[in-house]
Amino acid sequence: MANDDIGVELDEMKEIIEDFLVEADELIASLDTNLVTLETAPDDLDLLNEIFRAAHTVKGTSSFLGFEQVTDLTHKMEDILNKLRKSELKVTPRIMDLLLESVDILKVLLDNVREQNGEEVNLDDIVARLIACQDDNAAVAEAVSEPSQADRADEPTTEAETDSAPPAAEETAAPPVSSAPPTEKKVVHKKSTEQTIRVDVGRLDSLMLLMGELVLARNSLVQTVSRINKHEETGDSAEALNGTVASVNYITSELQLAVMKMRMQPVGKVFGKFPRLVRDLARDSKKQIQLEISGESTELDKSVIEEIGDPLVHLIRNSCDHGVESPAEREAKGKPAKGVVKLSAGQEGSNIIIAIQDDGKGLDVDAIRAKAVERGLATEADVERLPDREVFRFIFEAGFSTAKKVTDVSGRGVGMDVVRTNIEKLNGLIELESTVDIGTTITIKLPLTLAILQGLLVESDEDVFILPLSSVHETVKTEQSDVSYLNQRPVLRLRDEIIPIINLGELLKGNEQGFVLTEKPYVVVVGLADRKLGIIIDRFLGQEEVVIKSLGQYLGATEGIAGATILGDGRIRLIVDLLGLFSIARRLS
Amino acid sequence: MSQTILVVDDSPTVVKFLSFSLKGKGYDVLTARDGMDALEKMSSLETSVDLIITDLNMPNLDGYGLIEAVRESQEHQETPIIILSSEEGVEDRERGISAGASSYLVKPFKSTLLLTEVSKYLN
Repeated sequence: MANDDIGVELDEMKEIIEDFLVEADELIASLDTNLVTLETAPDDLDLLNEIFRAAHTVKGTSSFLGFEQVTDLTHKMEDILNKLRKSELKVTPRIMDLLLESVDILKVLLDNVREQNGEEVNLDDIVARLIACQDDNAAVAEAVSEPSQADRADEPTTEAETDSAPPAAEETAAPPVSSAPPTEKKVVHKKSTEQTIRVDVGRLDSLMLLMGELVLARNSLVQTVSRINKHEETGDSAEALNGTVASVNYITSELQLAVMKMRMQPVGKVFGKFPRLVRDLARDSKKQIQLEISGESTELDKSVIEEIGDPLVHLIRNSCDHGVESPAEREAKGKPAKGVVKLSAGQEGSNIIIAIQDDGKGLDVDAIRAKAVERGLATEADVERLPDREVFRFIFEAGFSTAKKVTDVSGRGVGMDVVRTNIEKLNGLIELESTVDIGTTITIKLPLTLAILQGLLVESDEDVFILPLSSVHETVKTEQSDVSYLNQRPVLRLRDEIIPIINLGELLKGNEQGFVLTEKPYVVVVGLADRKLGIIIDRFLGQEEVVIKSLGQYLGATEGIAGATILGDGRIRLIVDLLGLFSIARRLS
Repeated sequence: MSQTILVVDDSPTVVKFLSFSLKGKGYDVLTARDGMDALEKMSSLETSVDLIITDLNMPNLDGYGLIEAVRESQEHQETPIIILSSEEGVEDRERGISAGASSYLVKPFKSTLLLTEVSKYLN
């Protein structure tokens, strides 16, 4: 749209393009999901209309802004969708593949717009194929329907068969698909973090409402204080002050919630791309897999949403690739040929729980034991003694894979440790349960937000520290006799688990080897991703909601300290960074 | 007093582009995301709408439905309506005009063309 006099300023245009990208991303995500659904429900006209409208809107808007490549491609897609909608074409695997491929190219085109790199993608091939498949399909439909119109409805199967194997003559008429260089596909979908966010107007309204109440409370506070200063105290000042403080207290926590909510986004934003992923994986590996998604409206902080995608992709790939067996193998085991992968999300207190469950073959605990020994992660005697639950943890180690055959998608042993690293970054916990031939369930627990945390105040060596409560598994009062030594490092025997323990105060003072054990030590058992650590402290002081402040440049990189906060009593306290603490502890052992 | 234009489109980007563009030319702009929304906004307003620019393919109530409803109302029988659609077909154009639209523009279009069209109806 190279028009000079259109009344739009340059920065306004920039804003419009940013809006377009957000809008287009959403529409394309919906295309991905809906197209996959369409495959299983090819007669759903409402769904087709929705898909058509999404492509149509992207076409309209991009043409408006002059992104010709996007317009060209969506235009061709729209042609096909329109014919599908009018039953002039039939939903075939070939058409679906083409449409989904177009969506992928569309993503690249939008990235080009986003990065303003001026790059163009050669669309000739895909456009030619999109056009060819229409003729193809229509010709086939005609050929079948021509002899007798009435027979058509009675013989849907013949038609479908003809579709999948078009006559050789038509194959040559179509452009040489296989010999043509495939459209350059960027497999690595570049990720640029969105700097804008769409917020529901209702949420903004509630924020405004609360602001209004805060202003009222401030006015009454100012008034009361000025009365006190002028010594006009009539005795009810204290009462007025109490009332105002109570309402400021209430408004602040509501405000906090309202502001937090503005950053919250439904996890469905991430889940949306998984039906496509599972479909492609199932097709490639010739398996039958059904993905069941629930709780997609569960909301998470934007930063968490951005980080959680990659680990979930790994886990779902694992479930499809290693978990769910081939249809023949499943039937031999007496299971239905179609495997089920369930992805669910839900809120539990101030945490979000995401679970991935498959009904596949489960983890081979003996293979993991053998591999752990082979890789020198533990001795044979050790692994025999460890309960299965503990053995499963080895799969989170870097380079750990028991897959006999490396496939395209997984088995390279890079998956699970990436998952662990990502979950650790988010201060999350990960748990794994698996039963042979029943399946595997992986549960991820994440804090709702990273900016505010529920803190557990503890005293150690006369200093107060704050531990993130969401990572605390339990707190125990132990006896000295519960503590034993493994490789000269103290460990706590807690039920069937062996947990390494450290002394917080000593450790943070740089006295890494120092380990002083009081008579009856308190131990806080914290977890990070799949690991646990016991922290010895002197006293529990209570809980408080704290806002993390960074320590600034010169102190920011202190290992084991995430930041500081100001508590209700006005004192500055340090917040423990569990990731740092875990790596110190690992160095020691 | 400046004149008011109602922009109806289910794409927020198009709505934003048009409103920036029209505001830059000194018009007051109201926006709606579909036909239903447009009718609700028009009925709840005190000021009158001097011109409507609408898309055709929208959820809830499409452009045709909106135009018909607007033409049935007392107040807006004469209000100029410009259709801005990415449907290029002659059928759509005829259907739009016979429903009561004053002009039919196809996306993509030159902004200046729209502005000229708008100024044809408004002073």
